[in-house]
Amino acid sequence: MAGTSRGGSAAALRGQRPVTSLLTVVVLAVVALFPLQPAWQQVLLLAAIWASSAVALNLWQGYTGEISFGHAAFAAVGAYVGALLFTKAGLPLALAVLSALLASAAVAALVGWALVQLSHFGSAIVTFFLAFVVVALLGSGTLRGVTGGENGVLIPSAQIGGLDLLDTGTLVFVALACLTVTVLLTSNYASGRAGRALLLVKRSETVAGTMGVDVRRVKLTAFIFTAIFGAVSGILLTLAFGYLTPGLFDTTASVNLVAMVVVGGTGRIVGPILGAVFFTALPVAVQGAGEQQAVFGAVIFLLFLVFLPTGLAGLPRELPRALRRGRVKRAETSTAALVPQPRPTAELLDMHRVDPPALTIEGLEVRFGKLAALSGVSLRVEPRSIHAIVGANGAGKSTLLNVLSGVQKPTAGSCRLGDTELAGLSPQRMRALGLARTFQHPSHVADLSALANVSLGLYASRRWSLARDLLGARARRRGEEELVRRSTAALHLVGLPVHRHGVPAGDLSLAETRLVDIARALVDDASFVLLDEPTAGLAEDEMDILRTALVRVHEARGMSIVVVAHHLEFLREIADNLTVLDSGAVLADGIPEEVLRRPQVLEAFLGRTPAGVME
Amino acid sequence: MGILVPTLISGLTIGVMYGLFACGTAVLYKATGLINFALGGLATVATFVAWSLIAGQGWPVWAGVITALPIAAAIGAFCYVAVIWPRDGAERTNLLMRTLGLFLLIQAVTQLFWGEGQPFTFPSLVPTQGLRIGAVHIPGNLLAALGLAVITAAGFWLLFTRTRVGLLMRAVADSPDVAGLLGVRTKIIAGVAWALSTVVAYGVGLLTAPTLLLSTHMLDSFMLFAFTAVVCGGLDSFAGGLLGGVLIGLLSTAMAVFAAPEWSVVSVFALLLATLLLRPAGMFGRLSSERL
Repeated sequence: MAGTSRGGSAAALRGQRPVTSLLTVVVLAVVALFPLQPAWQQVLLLAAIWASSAVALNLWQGYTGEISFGHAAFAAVGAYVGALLFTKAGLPLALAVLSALLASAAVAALVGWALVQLSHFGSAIVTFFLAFVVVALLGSGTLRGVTGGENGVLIPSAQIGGLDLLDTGTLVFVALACLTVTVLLTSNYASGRAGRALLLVKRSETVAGTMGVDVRRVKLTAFIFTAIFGAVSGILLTLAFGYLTPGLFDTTASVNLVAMVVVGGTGRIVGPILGAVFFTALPVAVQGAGEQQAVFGAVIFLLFLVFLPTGLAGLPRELPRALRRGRVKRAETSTAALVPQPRPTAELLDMHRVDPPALTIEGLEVRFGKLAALSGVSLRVEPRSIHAIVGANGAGKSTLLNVLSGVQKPTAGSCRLGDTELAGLSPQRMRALGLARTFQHPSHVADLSALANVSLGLYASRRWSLARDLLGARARRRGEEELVRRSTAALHLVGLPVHRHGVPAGDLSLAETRLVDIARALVDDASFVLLDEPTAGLAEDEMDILRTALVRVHEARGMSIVVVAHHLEFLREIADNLTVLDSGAVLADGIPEEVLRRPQVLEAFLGRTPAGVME
Repeated sequence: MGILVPTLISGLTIGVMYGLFACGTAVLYKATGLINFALGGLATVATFVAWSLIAGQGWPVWAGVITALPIAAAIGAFCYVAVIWPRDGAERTNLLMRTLGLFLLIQAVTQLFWGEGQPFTFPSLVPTQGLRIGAVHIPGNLLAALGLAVITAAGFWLLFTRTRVGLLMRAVADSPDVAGLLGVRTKIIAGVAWALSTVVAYGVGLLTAPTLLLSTHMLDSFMLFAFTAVVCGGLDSFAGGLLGGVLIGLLSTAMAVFAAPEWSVVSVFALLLATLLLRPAGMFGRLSSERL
């Protein structure tokens, strides 16, 4: 496992490092030193240029799980703004380039703010349209005076420090230098806190929201980041051709970028570089194919999407797996059974006791059209108590938890935490007020370690700067060390064995993911923890471990806990109070032993069964 | 009266066609939860098939158009089977990109087959003189588009609210896994939806080809406007898609007439951005909530 290397405990959070990518760039640079045929020299140059866009775009496609079908638009904006300021307004080259990057970022901010409002399709449709609009405007009669219409802009000369940037031999090294910067920044972005938040957003926007992640904001930031590197490619492309026309940035260019990421390897830093080389080399390699070239490109793109979605970069991992397939169905997820852990020492835990106010729910109602999921629900959760909520499927338990975590807005009624009205607050706000929740279905980022997943629970409360993340692992170490310390303490508290802390969440057993989920909820000193079906699917002994963990957590922290579950025996042992919901209304409320004996409760749960039979 | 009424009428005509295309998009979205970026390409292929029969083989217009109808359905279903079916449990972004790949492939292939000598003239299916009410001339194209739109929207509405197939489609879109467990042949349902949406888009192709002239890129910008219509109306609403289409048709035509052609594209783009900012679910749509 990772975590033993130099660099302190912060290494436990570290994502992939861009070693392969930087090596690839070096290889490309070495190739560029050799005298190549002009056609291949051009391929190398274009690959280096488009790779910058593609590497950054991967942050959007691979980490956020969104698609941009029009990223060439940002290259176009950067290229045109830079070229026009340089040639027509006579700005110094550096200033023109800087303005170009800013212009691209501004356009991305404008359309990005709209497209993050609608997941998946918003980005796909808006970017697809944007590319069309930008190309249409650049070639239009209205702007012909500025952009030169279809004839474009000519760059007579561009020099910096005595280097002739219009010379292909020189430019290829400039492009590779830019690519190096892109790789470093993108990899720092992806492996830092923002990158982990993006992965959680990709997993589930709702879950990310309840962790305090401002989903739209983190998506917008990532989108703007990718657009800036689109502009870098655009400027380099201008220099490579010595002129600009709208046609350089048409739909094909945009789709090629997407294809570079897919064929190279989505979610891996090195992937898009390989993809860029592949797609710029393809036309030269199949020169004889003529018109059929486009067919080739499309077929390859589709084949990768269907049969090798992890791309060329995923091949080393997928190939052995494919060969093994048939013999071993699936790797065993849990290597060791979960065993009770000894009580951790006080200094390991380093947690604060919390002081929850009472939670008062009055006349709560949630309607979906004609259906009332909750109607007139009133209950009170005493400070520091464990409050169980039971009921048949459809009784409104999950809806109640969704209201209490801000995922669902109530139609009427109030929920007050102390004096604070909760109804209508956003999930992030709820989290900030100390209400945290777990989820019935596993809601972790499978590729991140248990520890890194828990650290996402600290997302909102720790001050953090993306700029420092971008500087690299060294710069963010102090911040990460604190995340690791607190997350480790939370995992100790719930009793996840130390050797499992670094295991990717996707390889944990169901019981272990439940513990991780609880740790993620309480890591930020939550004074109120909502547990959604923590016992579902667990075996008897696993349920015992979970119960021990809960009791320990409760003793150590003193938070209030609301737990929804089906296992009455489990609840009877831990709960101070128990509320029975039936068809969206409170059927009974009180001390578990007593409530579970009431005839109407027995009837609702078991049908007409004599008392005493209950397990 | 001047230029206003003709502008309104031509805006309405093109708007209804956007709306129809939007319905084709919405039917697939409702049944599979996917937006098909290749729909314009599919429609173009089907229209080219009809054109080949008519212009190449010398068939009568009606025979070519009707023969191409089942072929359109078959093309749609085939594309589903070839591109989406294998490993259809992939992430949604992966499936979405597959439709884009399909769009590229169709465009490359149509370019190969029919690229030379385009654009081609396509015979009009409806008498062009249309109706004259007082001083107002209503072109036959508008009447045909309106008729087709009403039939399509009503048909889809009935399909989804009154028939078993429609109910199954909604179940599949909601949760393919659960529907599969309940014994629904999810793949057949999805294939039917692909065929249906292709047929509707083919109808749009037939109506536009006589005026826009038949070419491999005929429906490219159409698709942008139709997608905007779907987003404006609400992804899962047929009436919303139709209304959104009409709105966009009027807006873009008015901008093209009273400003400049490029501003019609920009104004529709602005409408798309504004809709997402103010009402991301669209006029009549509902954002589906995630199961936790």
